[in-house]
Amino acid sequence: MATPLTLYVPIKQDAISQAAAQYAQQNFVSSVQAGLDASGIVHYARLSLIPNPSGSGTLAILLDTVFDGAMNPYLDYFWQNDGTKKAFQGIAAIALTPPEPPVTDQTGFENFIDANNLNKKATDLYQAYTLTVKQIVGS
Amino acid sequence: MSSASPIPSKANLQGLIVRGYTHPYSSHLLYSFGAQAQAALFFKALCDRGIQDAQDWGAAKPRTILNLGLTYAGLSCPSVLKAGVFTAADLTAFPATFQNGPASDGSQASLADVGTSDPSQWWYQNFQTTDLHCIVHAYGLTAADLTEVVEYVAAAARAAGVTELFAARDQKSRLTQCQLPVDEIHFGYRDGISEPALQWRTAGTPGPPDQGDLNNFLIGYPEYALVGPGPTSPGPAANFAKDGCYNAFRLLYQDVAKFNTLIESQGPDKVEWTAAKLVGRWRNGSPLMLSPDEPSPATQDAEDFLYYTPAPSNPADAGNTSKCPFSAHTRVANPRDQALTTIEGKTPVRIIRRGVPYGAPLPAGAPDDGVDRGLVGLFLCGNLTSQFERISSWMNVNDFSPVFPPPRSRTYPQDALLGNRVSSSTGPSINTDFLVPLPTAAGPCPVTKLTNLPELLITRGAAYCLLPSISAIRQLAGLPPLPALLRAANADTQFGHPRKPRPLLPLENDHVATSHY
Ligand code: HEM
Repeated sequence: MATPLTLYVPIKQDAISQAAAQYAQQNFVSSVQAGLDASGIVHYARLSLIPNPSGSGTLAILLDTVFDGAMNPYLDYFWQNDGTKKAFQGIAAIALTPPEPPVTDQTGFENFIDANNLNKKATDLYQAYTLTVKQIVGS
Repeated sequence: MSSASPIPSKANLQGLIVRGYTHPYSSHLLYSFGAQAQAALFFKALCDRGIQDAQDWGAAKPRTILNLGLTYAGLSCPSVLKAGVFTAADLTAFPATFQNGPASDGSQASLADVGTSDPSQWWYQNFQTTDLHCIVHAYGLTAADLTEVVEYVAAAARAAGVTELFAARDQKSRLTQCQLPVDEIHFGYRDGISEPALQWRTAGTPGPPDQGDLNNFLIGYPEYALVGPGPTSPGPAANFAKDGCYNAFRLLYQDVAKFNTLIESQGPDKVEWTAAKLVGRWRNGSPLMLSPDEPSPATQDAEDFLYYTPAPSNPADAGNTSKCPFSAHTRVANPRDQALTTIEGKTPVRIIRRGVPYGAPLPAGAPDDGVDRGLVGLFLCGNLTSQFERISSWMNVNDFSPVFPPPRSRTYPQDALLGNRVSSSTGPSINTDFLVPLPTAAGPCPVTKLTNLPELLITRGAAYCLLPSISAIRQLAGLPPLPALLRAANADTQFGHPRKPRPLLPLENDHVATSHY
């Protein structure tokens, strides 16, 4: 069974933040592809925009990913990889509640993920298989 | 990188970080700061007695020693906040792993304490893990020395209204080091041989940054650290934590009778061989990579060896597994030059080990006697998750190197000695067989298979502590900072104390207790 990370971050409503969210979503795969490929542990990663109840604009960013094994020891990898680092910093920069400590170093990054992860335990994840990414795609 | 990289002051670091004390007597005292506690008074009493720093003591080995650590729950107690050094809000700058503690879901994804090891069972349920606020590490050269220093600490706690907690089944015994031969732990191995060199790296240090550099263990010096010890963002928490180090405290019960059955399982002539294959060192300390066929007094203290270099003499046995199996404990805990998967980085992280055995030894040949015994494990690191939890997750799932497993096998092995033998809820299926490749002249390696390895450990408790600097403890005690002279950096970059080689004992006398420090 893999581990889910469900990062839910309400974002600011100003035009620049809203545009940044659109941009992040449109470019998500290309920006993180190399880092996630090389990690060898990520099954899926997806960035969605949750609309405001009014129907106009974005309320929050939802980054949804499923990976093998523990998360905490590997956050440093995602922090040190340019593509994934920029993606996470981009989300933090438009967060409605600015992260404290700021996401400028590894501790700030770890704390940002910890504070915004909706499910830390995989009790609500269905998975049809127990294979790891390495077993599926070969190592 | 700037050339002016500051060097920490040895007078400001707790001594435990840079040296294993080798005092034969120690006790690890657990405390809680309840509503009535006057934490400052307690810290002041400990400072008055003297918290051991990292300065060299030369020939005058101290008769007694005190060091201390504080959990996040401890730092957040009203009686500690009262010192005014930081506020509860400031403390949120500490890394989430330290804040949440080892029982949290995030940490348990790596530590995988399940069944009898489950966090709900810790400390014999005498107290909650969140009640544990402070651990005082007391050492003595003699039993009388230890009694005296422990009584001092206990009296200081009573005077300050600080509550002592007991982790033993009888709810009153302390975690006291048991008398085994020097450096020996239950299961009969010599321990404490391989430690990071703890050199302080500056702009002038030759070679690339090394995982064994002290910069990876001390908080506050991001410049040459490979693992990002935090808190890093400027503020009261970072100021307080500077020159501190984390301690992953693990109380681990060892099932000696089960271990004995395991090493006897391959036949009476293979008892020592099996013990050596499980760990990667013979029980006298000789690494299998240097002494593959039998233990040797000449290699009993050896730390300097690799798994791939020089190239294996038998190319069919890539990586010298016929000497040391991939899943042997020391090869998992520090794979040295073995290739790692991309996500693990280029070189394996290191941890500092300062643990001691507790509980009376099981007499030779005896069946289990129900006595609680094991390791008071002190695993020091600058980043709890990148160092300690990462190595722990390697032990529970051997997936950190491309050598594991053949992709189609679909199950991963575990650390032969320490694996919990349970597939974790977030990890892949695991395999409880231990493959021991055997040497051949050439061609494919035959293997001996130890099937269904037993679970040899039970986690009795765990806590993540900060070992604050001496100045930081003084602040909590309401004392003035260390004199500037002592706080000032000097030019000495050698912090680690390489282990002095033991006298070359004939093997049959190997278990004679001698102090060579
Ligand atoms: C009761 C439990 C344990 C026992 C009986 C045990 C036993 C040993 C022994 C016999 C050695 C070889 C001596 C040496 O190299 O100094 C060793 C080394 C080591 N152990 Fe353990 N250990 C235990 C728990 C742990 C844990 C929980 C960790 C880490 C999470 C750990 C990490 C290491 C490391 C890093 C080394 C040094 C490896 C090297 O650098 O070659 N051990 N252990």
